[in-house]
Amino acid sequence: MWQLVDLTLRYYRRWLAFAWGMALAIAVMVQILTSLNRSGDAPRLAFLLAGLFLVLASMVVGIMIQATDSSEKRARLLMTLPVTRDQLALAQVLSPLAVLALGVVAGGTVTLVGTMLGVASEARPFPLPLFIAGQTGFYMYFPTLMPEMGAYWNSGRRRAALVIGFLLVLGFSFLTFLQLGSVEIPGKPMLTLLPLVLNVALTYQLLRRRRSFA
Amino acid sequence: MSANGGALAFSLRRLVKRFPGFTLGPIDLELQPGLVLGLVGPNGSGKTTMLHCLAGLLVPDEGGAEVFGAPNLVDDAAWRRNIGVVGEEHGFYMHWTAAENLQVVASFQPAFSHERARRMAERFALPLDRKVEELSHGNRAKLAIVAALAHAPRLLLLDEPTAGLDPVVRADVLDVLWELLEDGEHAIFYSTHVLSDIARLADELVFLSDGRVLQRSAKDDLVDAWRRISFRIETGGDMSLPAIVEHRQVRQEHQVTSRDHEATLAALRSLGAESIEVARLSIDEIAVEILRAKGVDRVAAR
Repeated sequence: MWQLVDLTLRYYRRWLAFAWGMALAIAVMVQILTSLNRSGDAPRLAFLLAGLFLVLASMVVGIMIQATDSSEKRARLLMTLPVTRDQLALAQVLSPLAVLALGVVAGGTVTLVGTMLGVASEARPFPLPLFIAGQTGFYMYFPTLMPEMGAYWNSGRRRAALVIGFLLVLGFSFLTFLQLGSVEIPGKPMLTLLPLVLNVALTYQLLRRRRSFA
Repeated sequence: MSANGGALAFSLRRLVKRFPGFTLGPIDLELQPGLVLGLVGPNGSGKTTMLHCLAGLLVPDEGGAEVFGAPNLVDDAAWRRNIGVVGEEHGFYMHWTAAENLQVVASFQPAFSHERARRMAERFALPLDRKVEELSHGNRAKLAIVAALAHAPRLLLLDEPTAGLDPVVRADVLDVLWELLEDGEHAIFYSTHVLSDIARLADELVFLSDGRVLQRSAKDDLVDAWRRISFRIETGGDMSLPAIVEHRQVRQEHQVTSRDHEATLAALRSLGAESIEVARLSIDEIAVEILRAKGVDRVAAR
């Protein structure tokens, strides 16, 4: 399974590097624009945005991994090799998650560097990237979840499809509740990860029951 | 068990796969090691579905399959070391080179031989240093064949493997398959519309129509038995001939296609037919007649 994850990360590493480059370029550009506006908060804003954009860029790459693997019919190749359905399902779930985790680490590191340089003032550099990862990661698996849900519906397993739909609505509602600015909840970033965990588990359960790899 | 006591190359037992508007099966089919079984049928007859079920790319709704004695379960990887699969879809990493894709296959198939892959690639004039997205349809098909054969699988499952290949490469591919069979331990299940490929390779043919096996026959038996027979006969009433799958008549001139020409000829002689001419049929013509007739074995000629 780790061999499959490693394979995916190697295949998409250039895309990730490109996406991160874009994210950092945007952050720098924003800093330049805000500096022109003579805002004293510009450096702090740049580091903050860089941290956020790195997570967002990773999430986009996570979506692209699923979409590209699907369009290139990756499962078709891998399931003709000595690979089990369970290994494939785990790899398909963990690969985008690994990319998102790399984004959180990169985003947190950038914020940390800003703090160390004295231009940013985040006391804890990782909660914000984690919060963004939770918010966006929930949607990251939709390119896999939706077709699988459709397959359940079309094959007559409609109750299962409805249960999946209900769980997605539940996760979406919970995220929206947390997004509301007026809601102050202790441990909010960690709570934001709950719907992502739900989606990871759901996607894995669907993929490990998949009946077609053609 | 195979004839010599070893495991069968594959066996399908009451295999059923359902789709909206189409059902494959129930299918019972098996193949001995060392043989090539050609799968023949019109578009939509279920050939690809059957191969996908056998390759573990589709989970059947009922029944199952075994490959060299091991159930071909999607949750078991070991049996896949014995198979090579070539289909119309490949699943390659499009932004990687052909060589990098072969490296991926090699990392999962313990018996993968880089030397064998290199030799086949040279023989097929496959540019290994080119990205798959830059390869033509034909070159991608060649890559799929190299990837499927480089570990010398004991069972090769081929779905239109020579589609898009020029005649020279097609001949090379058939040569490579022929060489694979030399030791008598490998088996090939081969689906194609190019019946000349099957004519060269297959020992037996399975005819599939509407998701059901119409007939399974040894290729040589078909070629020996099937004939087109022309004759003249004067008959006032119905004429019933055995083993006839097609009949054409212009006045007293008749032309029939027989799946057992000896039985048909004996009947014709007893009826006093004249000017009898017998012509062999190609495997293509036989296949067309079998699929058209769908089991009809007698035609009342008027």
